[in-house]
Amino acid sequence: MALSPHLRSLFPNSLHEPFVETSEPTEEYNCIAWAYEDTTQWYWPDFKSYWPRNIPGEVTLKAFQLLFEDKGYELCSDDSLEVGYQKIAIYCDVNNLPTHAARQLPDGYWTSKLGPMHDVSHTIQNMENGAYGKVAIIMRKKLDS
Amino acid sequence: MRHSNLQYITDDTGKKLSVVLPFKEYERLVELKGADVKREFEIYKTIWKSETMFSSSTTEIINHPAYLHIISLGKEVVPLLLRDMQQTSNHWFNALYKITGADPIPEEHSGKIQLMISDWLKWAKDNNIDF
Repeated sequence: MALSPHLRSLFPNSLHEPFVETSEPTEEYNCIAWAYEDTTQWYWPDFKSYWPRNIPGEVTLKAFQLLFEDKGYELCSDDSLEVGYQKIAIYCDVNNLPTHAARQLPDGYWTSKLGPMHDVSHTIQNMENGAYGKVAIIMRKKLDS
Repeated sequence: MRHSNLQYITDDTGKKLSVVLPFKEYERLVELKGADVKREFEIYKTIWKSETMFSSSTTEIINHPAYLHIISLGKEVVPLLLRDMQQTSNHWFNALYKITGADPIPEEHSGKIQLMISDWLKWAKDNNIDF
């Protein structure tokens, strides 16, 4: 699927590394849900969006970290592909507020849902320095054998 | 989230409304006729969508200036919101809540877009609102 010029303008690093649209747009779920592997609902700690009751309902990096810890993730140090683990990355803006989450694929690339728009496959770097800011934390969970 | 490459349309007073649009969408907007509220809704909806189209943040989406402007249009825009939501699944839930004061979405439906749309469409039917 060809990448739209508008998309490229919001993610300038995508000009240099692979960035492939992998689905059609849908309003049903967002990037947090996609990283969480849930395509049935829209996640965000705000009005009429889904947010687990046991996680603080605040737009903070800590709350988003707790969301993924609740699914078995723990903080890790880098975005490398590790056998037996799945990783997610949380991006934050200049005010350190969470904006986006991505999930690592088995081949080492990453997958993201762009709000209500497409899923895309990308590198961790080519999603940075654009609309979502920078990677703030990376987390991993052990895959079931 | 702001865009660097902007194409402009203008309202009836010549005021520039910044929006990023595919050219064919721009053409459609400048040819819009009909009721002021409808045209105004379409213009601000396009601005809202274009500037939040990649956002996962409900906070950003419902606090965008164009979204807030649509809320300011009041009850006259409610049928337009309902119809647009039914056709596109756009997230007008907060706008409808703010304008009408109604809250037909039960907590267990939060985040489930189609269920929330159904809740509002039922509310419209129960309140005899045509759209």
